[in-house]
Amino acid sequence: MDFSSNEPASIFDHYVDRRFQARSFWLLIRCYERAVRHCGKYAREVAHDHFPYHRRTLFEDRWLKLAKAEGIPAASENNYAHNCHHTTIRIGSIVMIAQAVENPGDPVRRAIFRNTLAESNQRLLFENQRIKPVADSPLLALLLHGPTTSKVPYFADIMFPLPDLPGLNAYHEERISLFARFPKLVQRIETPKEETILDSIEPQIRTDIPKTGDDV
Amino acid sequence: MRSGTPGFVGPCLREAREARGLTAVSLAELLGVSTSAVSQYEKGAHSPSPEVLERICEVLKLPPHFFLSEPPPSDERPIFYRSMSTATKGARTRVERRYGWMRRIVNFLRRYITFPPVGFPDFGLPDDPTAIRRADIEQVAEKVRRSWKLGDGPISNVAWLLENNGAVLSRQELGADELDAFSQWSDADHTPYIVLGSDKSSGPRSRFDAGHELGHMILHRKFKKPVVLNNPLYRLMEQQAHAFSSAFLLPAASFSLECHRPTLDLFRALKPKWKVSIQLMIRRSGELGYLSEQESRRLWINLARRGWRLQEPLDDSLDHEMPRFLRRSFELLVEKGIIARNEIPFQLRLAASDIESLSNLRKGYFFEPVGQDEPEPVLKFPRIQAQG
Repeated sequence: MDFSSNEPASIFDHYVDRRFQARSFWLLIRCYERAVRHCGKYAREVAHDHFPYHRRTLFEDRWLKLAKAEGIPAASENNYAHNCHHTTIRIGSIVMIAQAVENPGDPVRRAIFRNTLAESNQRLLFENQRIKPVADSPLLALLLHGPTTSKVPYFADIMFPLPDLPGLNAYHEERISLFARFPKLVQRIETPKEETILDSIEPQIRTDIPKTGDDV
Repeated sequence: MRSGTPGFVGPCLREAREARGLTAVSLAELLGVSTSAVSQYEKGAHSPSPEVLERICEVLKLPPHFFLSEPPPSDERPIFYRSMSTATKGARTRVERRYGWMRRIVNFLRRYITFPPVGFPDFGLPDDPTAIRRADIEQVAEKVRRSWKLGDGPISNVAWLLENNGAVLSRQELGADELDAFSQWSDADHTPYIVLGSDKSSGPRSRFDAGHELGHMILHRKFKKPVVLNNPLYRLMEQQAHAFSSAFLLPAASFSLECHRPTLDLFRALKPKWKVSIQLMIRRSGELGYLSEQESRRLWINLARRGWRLQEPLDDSLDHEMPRFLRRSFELLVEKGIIARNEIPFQLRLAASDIESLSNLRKGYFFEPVGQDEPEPVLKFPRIQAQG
C-alpha cells in the first residue's frame, strides 16, 4: 500500500490505531492534572517553575510504558548533547515524539535530534509524490500540545514537521486534532464546563388582544 | 400664523432631529429654512407648511404622521451609559431619542405579546452606591448566577441569558466611538432595558458590556438620581459595574482552575472558551492575586508589543451575541396574521428602517412581499391621515 505525499494523516492513521491515539491523548490529559496536583504543595512561584518539567517527565515516562505495554517499539533516547532524554515511539513507518508549545502550530525549539528525525519528511515538500512507507523511510509525527503553563491542555495535535524550516510554516498543512477526534475524552477534562444558555424564549400572543389599533 | 400643518407637534421635530444627530442649524440648512424657523417649529410657536413638512420627512427619514401626535412620556429613571468620558452630549442625546423609539416599539408589542417575566433578583442592596463594598460585588455576582441556576463555568450566551430572564435587549449602531452600551430600569413596566452597541466593539468586549449593564441593573436598580457623567459617584458606579461584570463572567472559583501562572499565550488559548478579552483576563488575574503588580505590568507591556491592545487575536472569529425577542415578536405577529407587516411602521409612526434596526430585524423586512402562506391580518387599523 502506498500513499500520496499530500496525505501524511492517512499514513499516520494507517499505522497508529485509534486506540493507541486515544490512550496517548488521555495519558497526556492525566499528566497535566497530576502535575498540577503534585505542584500544589509548592509555593506559587516554585510551582510555576517546576510544573512544565514535572508534566514532561510524567508524560515521557508513562508514554514509554504505555507503548511497551501495548507491544509497540519505544525507547527513551538521548539527545545529541547527551543531556536530555525523550521518548520515541516507532509504529511501522511512523516515528512519534511529543513537545509542549504555547499555541497550536507554534514551531518547536530547534534541536538536532528533531531536525535529524524530520529529515525523512523531506518528501512532504513535494506534492503528489507516491510514498511507499517502509521502515527505513520513517515519517516523523509530532504530538504538539499546550499551552505550557496551563493546568489542562487546550490543544493536542499530531503535526508533520517539514525538514529544517524554522518558523510558523514548519508543518505540513495536514494535522490531526485529538480534541476534535476524541470529544468524549475532552468532556472528561477537569475544567469548568460551559453553562449552556438555551434558546428557549418564544414570544406568546396574548389572549386578550384589543380588536382595533389604538394610538401607540 | 401662516398656513401651516394642523396638528403638527413641535417636540416631535426636536426628537426626530436629535435622533438623527443633527443640530438645529444643520437641519435648517438641509431644509432651506432659517434656524429660527426650525426653533419656532420645535417650540410649537409655528408649524411648517405642508411643503416644508414633506421636506422634513425626507431629510429626517420619518413618516408625516410621526409629527402629528404627542411623544409618549419618557421614563424618569436614570440611564447608565457604558461610555468613555469623551462621549459628547450630542451622541448621548441621539441614542436616548432612539431608545425612546425602542420603548415605543416595546409598548406596541406588549399589546399583543406576552413578555417573559422579569427574573432579575433583588438582594436588598442600598440605594447609595458608596455603601456597596467591593467584596459585596463578588458575592452578588455569584448569587445572580445561583439565582439563574448557573454554575461557575463560562456562559455560552450572555445576551440570551439576559433575555431569558426578562430583560428587553437590543443591539444597535450607537453611532459614536465613545458609546458602548447603556441600560435603564423602567419604573413604568418594571423591566430592565439594555442596549448594546454594534458599531465597533468585538464579540468578547460586547459580552463584557452586557455584564456591565447587568451589574447596573442589579447593583444600582434603586438609584434614582440623574446620572451626571464624570462626577465621582458616576465613576464609582462604573467601577462597580465593571467589577460585577468581571466577577460574573470570570468567577474566582472556576477561573482559578485554568492556570498556574497566567501568560498571554494561555489567555489566548482560554479566550474561545470564556469568550472574554485577554485584557479582561489580565485584569481579573490581577484582582484575584494570581499576578503580582510587576507580572501584571509585564503582561500589559507584552500585550502592547504584540499589538493586541488595539486588535486582539480571535476578535474576528467570536461574533456578537444577537438578541432575538423583539425580532421574533414581530415575526410572530406577522406569521399569525395579527397585523399585516406593512401596517406595523404605520401604527408605530416610525420609519420601517428604524424599527428594523431597533428590533434586530433584517433590512427591508416590512416591505418584503407577503408570502403565500401569510394569513390575512386579523386586526384592521383605521388609517391616520396627515391633515392640511
